[in-house]
Amino acid sequence: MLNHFLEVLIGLREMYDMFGIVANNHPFMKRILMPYDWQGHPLRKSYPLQGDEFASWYEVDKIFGKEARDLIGPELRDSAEVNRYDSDRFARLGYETPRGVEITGDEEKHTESYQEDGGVFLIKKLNKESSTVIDDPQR
Amino acid sequence: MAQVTNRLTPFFENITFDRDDNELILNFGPQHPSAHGQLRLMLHLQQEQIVKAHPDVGYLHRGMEKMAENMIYNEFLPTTDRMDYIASSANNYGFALAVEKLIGVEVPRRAKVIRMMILEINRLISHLFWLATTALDIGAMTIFLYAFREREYLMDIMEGYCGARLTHSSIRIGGVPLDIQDDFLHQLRVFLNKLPQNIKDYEDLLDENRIWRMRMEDVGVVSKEMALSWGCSGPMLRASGVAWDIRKEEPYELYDEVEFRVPYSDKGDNFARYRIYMEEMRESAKILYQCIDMYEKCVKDGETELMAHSPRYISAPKLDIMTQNYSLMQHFVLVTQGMRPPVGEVYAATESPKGELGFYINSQGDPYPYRLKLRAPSFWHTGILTDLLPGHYIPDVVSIIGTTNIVFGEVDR
Repeated sequence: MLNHFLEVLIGLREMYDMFGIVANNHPFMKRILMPYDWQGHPLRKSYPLQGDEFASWYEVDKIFGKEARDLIGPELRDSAEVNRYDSDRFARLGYETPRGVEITGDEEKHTESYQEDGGVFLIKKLNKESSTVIDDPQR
Repeated sequence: MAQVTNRLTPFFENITFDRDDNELILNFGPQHPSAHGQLRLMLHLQQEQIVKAHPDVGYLHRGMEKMAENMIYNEFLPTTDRMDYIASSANNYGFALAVEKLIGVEVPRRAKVIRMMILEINRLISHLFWLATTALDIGAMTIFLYAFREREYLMDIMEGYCGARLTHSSIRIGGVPLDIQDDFLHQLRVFLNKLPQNIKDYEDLLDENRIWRMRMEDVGVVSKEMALSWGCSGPMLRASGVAWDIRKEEPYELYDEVEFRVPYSDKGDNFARYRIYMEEMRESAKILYQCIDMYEKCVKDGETELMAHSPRYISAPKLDIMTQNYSLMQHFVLVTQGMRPPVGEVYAATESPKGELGFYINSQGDPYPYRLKLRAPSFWHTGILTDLLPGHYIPDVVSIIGTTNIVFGEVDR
């Protein structure tokens, strides 16, 4: 086929990548869509939709090594998940605790707020203590 | 010397860095602005000339074919938006057509006319976008602004129809979800009346432009044999001397009722491709004028159906669902379980703005396709770069990538 249709050069590579079917006499039988060091062939029926163990730890294993798996933890698949103990995500607004510190549940609410040194041009910080609330509709 | 790879030194396929010759290896992309998304090219250079090119794709691979095997048919339709995201309705349509062929329903005429209008608007959007980005890559900033201005009108029309600007999902299996809005035809007519002058403006700026011609003429010549051998389709194939347009060869919808030309050229270079895109815009405008007349005739004849009548596969109109018990039951089953097409396989090819967009579906009678293969034109147009780039110089790479018009949502799927 290579004599007539050069398109098979990439078509067969995709077939190999997705199904693991190896074509004879192909000059460059390498993966095309998946990373070169991937294990498994994703379009096979035996390959799970969520990916196998290799897939779920692929980046961690490659960048930090297998021993970092426990430290980093599994990949967060649910993009809508809210972890109430995750202080990074401000799920505990006002009661943030540093990572690694045990959360007891009776932390004091802190009143710290962020302000640029010397203030920002034209912008005034609202001071809740010194401001007054006007509730007289006839004012 | 073989390269030593470990955790920190990256692996480059088939490349050794200590070489005896004077070849330099240039890594082009995947974050290069003219790489049109996520194309990574490994170019072997002798001086500034390319001797070997190796496109590396897959940076946007989301496994759509695997996703399709785990979704009911209607659920997969919005996913097709993310293939060729420049003209997403063309993908919606390709998938809808394949499923309609599989279940064997006939789409009402009014829906067909609306679909054709949407498809041609998408073709115009895609071609204007192509013109804008390619001209920008080559340095013609003015064209970019002009073409985006015109594209904006069409995006507004699409937004008025389906509420989305980029990911339309405007076509359903069995028809279209909505009739066109009141001022759709008026807006379209206003736009189409202006379009010939706009295209002429672009051509005045580009056709006789010395720089444009130097960058385009006799650069990236694809011979007829090469185009056929690499599986090219669409403007890539037509620029190489094959007047092949699926709208003419295997007419779908009402393309056999409208009159249009298939522009083609024998030269096969970048400039020929540019000319074909411009001519195709004119042909699209011609088709749209005829569609407007066809739609008005549909209204006059009192054809109001927008979805095919096929209770086993397609939900009844909303009024029936709300008033008739049996329609409600069927709707419930179709939404919760999904339609179950008959056992069989089907391949439906459509002429998307980029080329032949084909959907192969193998159905085992389940609500989920057993296998769904997306034949995206850009994937094959990426392959040809291996053959096309050697012999050219680095600046030509940019213009060749531009005129091949590859979109990476479609290449990587």
